[in-house]
Amino acid sequence: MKRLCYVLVFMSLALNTWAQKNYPSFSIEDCLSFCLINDETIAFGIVEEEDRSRLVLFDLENKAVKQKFDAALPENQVVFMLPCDDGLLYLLTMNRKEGQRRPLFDAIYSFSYKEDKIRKVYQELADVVIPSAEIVRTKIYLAGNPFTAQPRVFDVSTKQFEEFSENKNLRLLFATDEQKGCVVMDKSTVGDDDVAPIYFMDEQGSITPTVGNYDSRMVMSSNKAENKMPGMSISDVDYEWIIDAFDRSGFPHSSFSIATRPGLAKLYNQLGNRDEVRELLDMNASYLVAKGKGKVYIYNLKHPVTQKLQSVSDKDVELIRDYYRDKTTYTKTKIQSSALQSVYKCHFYQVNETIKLDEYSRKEDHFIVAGSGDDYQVLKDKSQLTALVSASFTIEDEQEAAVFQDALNALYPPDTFDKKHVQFSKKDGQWQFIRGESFGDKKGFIVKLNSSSQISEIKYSDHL
Amino acid sequence: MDKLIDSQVKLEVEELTSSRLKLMLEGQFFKVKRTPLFKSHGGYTDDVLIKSDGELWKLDDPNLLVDRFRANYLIKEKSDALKLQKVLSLLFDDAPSQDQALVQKGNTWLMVQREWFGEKQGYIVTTDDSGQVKEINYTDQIKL
Repeated sequence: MKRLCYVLVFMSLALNTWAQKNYPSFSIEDCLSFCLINDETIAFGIVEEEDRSRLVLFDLENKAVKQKFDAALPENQVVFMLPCDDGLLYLLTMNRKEGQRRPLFDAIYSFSYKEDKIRKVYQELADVVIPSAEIVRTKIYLAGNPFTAQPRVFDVSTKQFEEFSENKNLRLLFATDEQKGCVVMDKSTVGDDDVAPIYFMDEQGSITPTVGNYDSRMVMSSNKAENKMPGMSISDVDYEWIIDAFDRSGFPHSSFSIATRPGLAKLYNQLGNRDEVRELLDMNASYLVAKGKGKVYIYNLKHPVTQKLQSVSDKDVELIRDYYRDKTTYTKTKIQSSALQSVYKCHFYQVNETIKLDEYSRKEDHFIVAGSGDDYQVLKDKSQLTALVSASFTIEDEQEAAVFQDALNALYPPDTFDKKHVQFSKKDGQWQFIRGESFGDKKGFIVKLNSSSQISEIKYSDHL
Repeated sequence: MDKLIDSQVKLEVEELTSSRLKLMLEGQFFKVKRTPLFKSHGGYTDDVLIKSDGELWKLDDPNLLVDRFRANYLIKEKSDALKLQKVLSLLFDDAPSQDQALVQKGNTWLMVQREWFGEKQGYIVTTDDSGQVKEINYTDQIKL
C-alpha cells in the first residue's frame, strides 16, 4: 500500500509538469552530505575521497571548492549539518543497532572552520530514533511526529536540553531560522476533522493568536479531485510567509514529503534531471540542492539553467548514437486499406522498431507514420487524425460511418478481447466509435461533424 | 521518412565521473537515457555503457565488471567491500535503503541492497585468497 501511495504521488507530481526546466548549474561527485548557509553563496559538504571523507567548503557562485578541511569526521554517519549563529557548524550523527530497523540518534558535534576542529558536544545514550533537525539561532529542534511528542530542544550555547514549552499540548510543526521561531499547534485543539489552528511562537516563547490551520488529512483516491495532502492554510496576511518557510524546512525530502509541500513540489517538477533525483537536500532563496545517482546537484533558483550542460564530447555522443543505431532496426509497412484511402488524404505506414538486447532476445515496439509526398509525421496523438481527413469524406449515414470504422480497424486493429465491443452509434449529433472496454468504461473515438457532414474533430476518450 | 524515424529516439548521455568508480574500474562509464519520442507517455530506458579501447558495450550483468577492476583494487577488508557496494549501487542505480547490509563469509561478500517481501536482494561477490574479485552475481534471494 505504501508503495502504491508513492506511485500515486509520483504520478501526480509527474502530471504537474512545468514548462521551464531548471538543470543543475553544477554537480559534486561522491558528496555524502550538503548544507547551504542561510542566504549566503557558500555551502558545506562532506565529500568522499580515496582514503577518507572530509568537510569541504564550496563557493556556489564560482562553482568551485573554496576550502578543504582536515578535521577527522565522526566515525558514525553524519545525517544533518546545521550552520549556527555562533559561527560553528553542528553535525548530527546516527548509528545502527542490532535488532533496530530504524537508525538511532548518536551524537552532536561542532565544527569550527577557523580551527579546522570537530568536537563532540553531546552523546545520546538512549535508543532514540533519529529525528528531524532544524536550528534557530543556537537552538537545535529535534522533532518526530508532532502528534506523538514535543520536540527536544538542544541549546548549543549551554550544551543542555531545555523544555520546548510549559504547555505540554503545544507541538512543533516546523522551526524557521529565517523568522527566528516555530510554527506550532495545540494538540488538544485538533478536531474530529484532523484540522488544528496554528500559531507562531517567537524566540522568547510568546505565542500569537491563530494565524491559520494545519490539516493533517491525507486522501489518496483514484478520483483525482478527492486527492489531498496534509498542509497549512494561512488566515493572517502577516503570516503568509509560513507557506514558503514550510517549503524550506524539514530537509531532506523525498517523494512523499515533497508532495506535502506545494511550493517545493513545483520546483521539483521543474528540475530538468528530475528522474535522476532521489532526495532534495536543502534550499534557500537562491539555490536548491538535490542528491541522486552518486552526485549532489546544485540548482540556481534565481537564474535557472534552462539547457542541459553537455558534459560528454560530441565524439562520444556520436559513438553512443551509433551503438544504438547498430542495435535497432526499423521496418516500414504501408497499411493497405480502401477505407483508409476513402477517409484520409494521406498514406499510413506501420513502423516496427526492433532492438537487439542480446543474442537471444529482442525488444519490439511500433508506431504509425502518416504522410504524403515528402511530408511525414508520427501519429503520437489520435487527435492528429482530424487534420488528415479528406475534405471529400462525409458521414451522412451508417454506411459512411462503417467506412470510417473500417479505416479505424485498419489503423488500430482491435485485439481479441476488444473485438466484441467494436461498434458505432450516433448520439447528440456526433458519432461514437467504440473500440473496446476497460473496467466497465467504454473507450473509443468521438467524431464531430460540421453542417456539411464533414469531420470537424476526432477525439479519443477512455470514458465514452 | 527515414530521417523522421531516426529522429524518434532521444539520447541523453552523462559520463559517470565518480572518483571512487574511476579508482576501482578501468574504462569510461556512460549513463544513457533513451527516450522513444513516438510514445506520448514519455517512458524511457536507462542503460550504462562502458567504453574501452574505442568499443562500447552495455553493462547488463554485474559480472561483466570482473575484467575491468584495476590491479590495485583488492578486497582485503570490509571497507574495500563497502567501496564496491557503493560502486555497484551507482552503476545499477540501486536507491539507498535502510536494508543495506554487508556480510563476509570467507572469500564471499554478501551485499544486501534491499528487502522485498522478506527476501534480501543484492550482490554476491567472490574473491580469491589475494582479494581479487572473481565473480559478481545479482540475486534476489541472499541467504545471510
